[in-house]
Amino acid sequence: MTEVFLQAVVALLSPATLMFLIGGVLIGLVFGVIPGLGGTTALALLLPLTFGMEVVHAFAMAGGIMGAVAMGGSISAILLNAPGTAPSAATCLDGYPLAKQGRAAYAIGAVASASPLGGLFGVLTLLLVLPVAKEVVLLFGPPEFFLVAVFGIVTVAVSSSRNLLRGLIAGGIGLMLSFVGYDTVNGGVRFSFGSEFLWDGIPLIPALVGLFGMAEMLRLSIAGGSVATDVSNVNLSGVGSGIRATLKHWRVVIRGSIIGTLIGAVPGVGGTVATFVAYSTTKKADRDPDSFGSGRIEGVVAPESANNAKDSGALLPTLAFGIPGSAEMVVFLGILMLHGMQPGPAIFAEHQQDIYGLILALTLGAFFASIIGLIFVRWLAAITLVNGQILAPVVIAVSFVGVYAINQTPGDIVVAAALGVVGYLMLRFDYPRLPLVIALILGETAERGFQQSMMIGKGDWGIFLHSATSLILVGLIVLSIGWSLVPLLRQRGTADETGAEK
Amino acid sequence: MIAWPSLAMLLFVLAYLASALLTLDGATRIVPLMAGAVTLMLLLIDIVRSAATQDAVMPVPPRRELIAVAYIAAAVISIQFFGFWLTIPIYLFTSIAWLGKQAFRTALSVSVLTSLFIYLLFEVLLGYNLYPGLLLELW
Repeated sequence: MTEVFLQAVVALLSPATLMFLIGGVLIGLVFGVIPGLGGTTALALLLPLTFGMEVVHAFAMAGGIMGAVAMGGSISAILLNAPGTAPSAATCLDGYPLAKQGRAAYAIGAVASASPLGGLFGVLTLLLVLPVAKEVVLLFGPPEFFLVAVFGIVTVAVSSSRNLLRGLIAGGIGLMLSFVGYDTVNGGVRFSFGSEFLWDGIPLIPALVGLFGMAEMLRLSIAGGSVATDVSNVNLSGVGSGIRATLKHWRVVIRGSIIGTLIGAVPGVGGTVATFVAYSTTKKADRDPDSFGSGRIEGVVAPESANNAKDSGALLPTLAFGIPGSAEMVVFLGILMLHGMQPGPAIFAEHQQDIYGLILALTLGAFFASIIGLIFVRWLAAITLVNGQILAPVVIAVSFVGVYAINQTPGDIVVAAALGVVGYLMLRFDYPRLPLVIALILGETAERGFQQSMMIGKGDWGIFLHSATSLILVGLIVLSIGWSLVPLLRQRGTADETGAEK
Repeated sequence: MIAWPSLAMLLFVLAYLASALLTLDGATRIVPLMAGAVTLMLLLIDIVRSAATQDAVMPVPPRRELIAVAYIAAAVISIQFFGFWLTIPIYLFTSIAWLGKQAFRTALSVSVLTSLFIYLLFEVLLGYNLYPGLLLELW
């Protein structure tokens, strides 16, 4: 095994392969920065080009793209509150407030260090888990998928503890919207009102671009000014502090990486859930959770470490079973097959060197992306100084084109604009957007898991407690709700005591 | 008095539940009905709670807000009919010059440069055929 691993290292470090890797990193950064594009589009465009390439070159380029997209997506999330990729949406929550305080470079420094560290952690875990991959993936059946989805929604809804009720309402509306379109279990189309466009449901990327990017740009154009509220205070030299902050919060990095790897490995759940759960868990574990959302660096470090770790996790079911762990992996599966590699447990024995090469390319890709991103950080951070009356229309126009480019459907523009207005109203009337997004993503998984479990259990709800994995997940859900109720009960207790004293 | 966002959400949830009950059958409506019913309950609690307390809302000039939203809506409708290549430069120019009250020259240069960037990236580099609009498609 060591010999094959070293051969993979030598193959990857050859000048030609490194060139493909760096090429992939540059493409990944550009596709990551522009809202609406992202890794799936980049890999899809690369797919036909890899046909004539050697496997190692194709994997180096794909690894470079996957490793760099996260960094690119987070740069626009921090600077514009417009996540370049869906998983980067969680980075907006504290990254953008930091940019508004003039500390964009500090946040980008944290991203540049947390991303590769998370990626490295994910890769090391993947190398350790590969021999027992089959057993790990088989732990999840329909009841476990349902419980993972419920856990994701509950964790995010209760983490908006400042307004728990409104968090739950937003989650409920997100769930309701997620049921629009084709019912994958029972067949039939729901809530489409005759529109063929809605058969596939509410498209995710346009929804995210609308709820986060457009909503924020609307706010900016209405309120006036620039992204950084105190222009005189914009600090373009805080990168070093950002890196030091990541190292200081090493526990947050490890926690985020574990969450990213684990959730990334669950097919269909995806990276967006991983980053939001990493954010929520870090917020809940903090002594001052209320300060999250106002520019806490841990709120950037946690999702970023999960963001890159999730790629290694998602590789696990893709390679072991041909079940893609994310949208990017669906396209990557195409690259594998194009090169005559059949996913399944045998792939590790038949193409060991190529698989190691891919894993190493992912890690190196994240490191190169950080270095290249840091070189340009000063210029990128200057975006926060641009007048909002100019920046907002430009971002909205590019976002319109970006969301259209995904499926070449004009309806996607309508969805982005409509949810942009909804997102703005949620900002205005203090409804958290996070639970809506997470429920929109997880609704289908939750429903499918629920319906299939009911069929397997013949209507018996005990199916959700039949395995150790289910029991652990139920325990985590109960713990999440209980944890969020403790401060509320304490508050009530203090109020009662004060009342009694009076 | 019920705040209008709560009322709008209440109407949306009621319409959703009615649609699920009237248009769906059997197993296809179970989960949507469960989600809708729970959301309705939570909304009613929020409405009662909001009536007792005064929620803080972001202070903004409503006229400016309406104009900004109308501008986005106009851009979306214009893209559907006239496509990207006519809408994007006009949207950018008028948003920056009229809505944003910036200098005529700034608005013109930003709209030209952004349109050029979009053309080079999406049409030339990535090979997308950006939507020409319903009218041009028919013509």
